[in-house]
Amino acid sequence: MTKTLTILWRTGSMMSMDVNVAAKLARAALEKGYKVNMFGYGEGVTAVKKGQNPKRFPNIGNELEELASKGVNISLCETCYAARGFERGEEIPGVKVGSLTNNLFKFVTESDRLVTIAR
Amino acid sequence: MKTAYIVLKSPQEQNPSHLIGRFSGRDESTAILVEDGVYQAMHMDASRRLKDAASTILVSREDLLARGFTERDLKAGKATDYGEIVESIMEHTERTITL
Repeated sequence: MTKTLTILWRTGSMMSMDVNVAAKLARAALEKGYKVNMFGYGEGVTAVKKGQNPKRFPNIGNELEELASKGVNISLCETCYAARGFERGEEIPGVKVGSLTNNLFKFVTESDRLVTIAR
Repeated sequence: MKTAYIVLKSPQEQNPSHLIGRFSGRDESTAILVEDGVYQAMHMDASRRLKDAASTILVSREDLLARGFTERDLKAGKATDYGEIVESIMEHTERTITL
């Protein structure tokens, strides 16, 4: 049976490279044949904003969009998202606006490992 | 319980060895150094402390090179890619704690 890795990230796209580390772990896990879930919480939800255009560092929005297209389940906390003024439809394609109680809970219960990337 | 510790911070920000020692024994501990955590394996005192706390130390080669260093600068552990890091998390340890 395929093992599952869930990655919970809590830092924003412009704060550090934490979410990039989360994406690298997700990509490596996917390439090794694992099922991968990712959940954005707190400031982490800023990483899924559609239309990010950083000039001098990696575009995490594009990275997450590509991971989602390759089968990574990406979900985020709706409360955190709304608190920062985001509305549904502003997220990159393939990302689900969800909740801790439904999505993260489901991810964790079906996972073999949980990795938290946060400061 | 075999535990993987993900270390994101430099020795100037954090001493992970102290926490690792509190949670698990040396033989059950794997330190995974990413981002500024790679400095833990290059700093004289921090690398010595880490070797005492964890039997396996994996250093992200990508994050090492990004900071202008190479494997030759390591005083502890070995440089590796994210594939091996994932394998350590999924196959060789039973839980992951981020410090």
